[in-house]
Amino acid sequence: MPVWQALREELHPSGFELVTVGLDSLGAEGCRHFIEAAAPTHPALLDQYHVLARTLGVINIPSSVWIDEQGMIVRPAEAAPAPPVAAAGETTPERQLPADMPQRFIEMTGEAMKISSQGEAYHAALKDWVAKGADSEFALSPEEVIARSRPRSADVALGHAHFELAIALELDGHHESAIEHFREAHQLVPDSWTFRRQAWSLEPGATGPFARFWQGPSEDDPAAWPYEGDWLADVKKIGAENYSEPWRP
Amino acid sequence: MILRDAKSDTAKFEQETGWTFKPEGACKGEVCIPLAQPPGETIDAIEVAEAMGLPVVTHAGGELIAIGPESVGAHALTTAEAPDIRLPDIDGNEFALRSLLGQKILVYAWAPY
Repeated sequence: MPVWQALREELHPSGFELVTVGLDSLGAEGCRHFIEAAAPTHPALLDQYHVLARTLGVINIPSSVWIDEQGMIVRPAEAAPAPPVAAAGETTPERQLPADMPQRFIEMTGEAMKISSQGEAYHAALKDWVAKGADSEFALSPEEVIARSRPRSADVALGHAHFELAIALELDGHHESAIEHFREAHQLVPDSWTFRRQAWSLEPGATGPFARFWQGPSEDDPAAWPYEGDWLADVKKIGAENYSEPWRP
Repeated sequence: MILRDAKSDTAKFEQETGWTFKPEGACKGEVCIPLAQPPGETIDAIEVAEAMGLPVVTHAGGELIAIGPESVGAHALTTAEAPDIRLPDIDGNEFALRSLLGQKILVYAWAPY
């Protein structure tokens, strides 16, 4: 997030504001540490029920939606890569990997590094829009915005209801019932990474600082994993290079 | 949206679903779904949701009710007008996205997992 904050400070005088939204059923408990460490000057919000999925069609993180001065969406939910300089810095994390890192994380890091990022094109487009507004070629018409937003069948809409019910059950302490509805949501909305990652992050596959990033069966009791897929298996299945959809101008 | 009672405040239903009740039906942007009769100040949210074609999933005999979004336009967005999103910050203060009208906004979704 620091790179986004720097960008916000740069563009704020031109009438630009960044609003970060943490999609996590744990709310402040899950996000506080990161938000306080960043000490943002922009609004930093919490979204326990993934309202951004239902209302804007967010299916993965990080994602962005651009909204103009009149409150019209000019770009619907799309992958939001880090600014290019930071992205280059992030491609050499090997030296930072702790010696005792579990094998699963070494593999996950390897896959994550293959995820393609078009940070340069995206951020050039963002600056163009901030400078030119509606005259920017990257500000889409209302018809194009709707057409480019996620497809939503009756099944997908039903999947969103299951997902929200799962979150409510989880918050009420009914974890087993929540799993049932998360599973329904995963089947009905198969293209949502956030629906899966949220559910996976609530399973104790590991302890300590890695717990929420483990996102898969534990080494001690893999049979107890309640979901069909997991982060590593699913990313390998589709190929890390297909994890984010290619950016369209 | 999550409800713990099917009897819902109409204004809350409108704010959460993004649909506004008008004489011609439930409307969002240019799209209206005709309804047999316009709702009063409170509604049976399940009945209205079903009349609008919104999915409803319940748990424990209706103690928890989840109403899903519309699929009438076959896309996540029915209109390009940004929805009236209101979410809290870490101190619990609600923030309305619409309070930023007049600026360009980038809504950035992230997660700590």
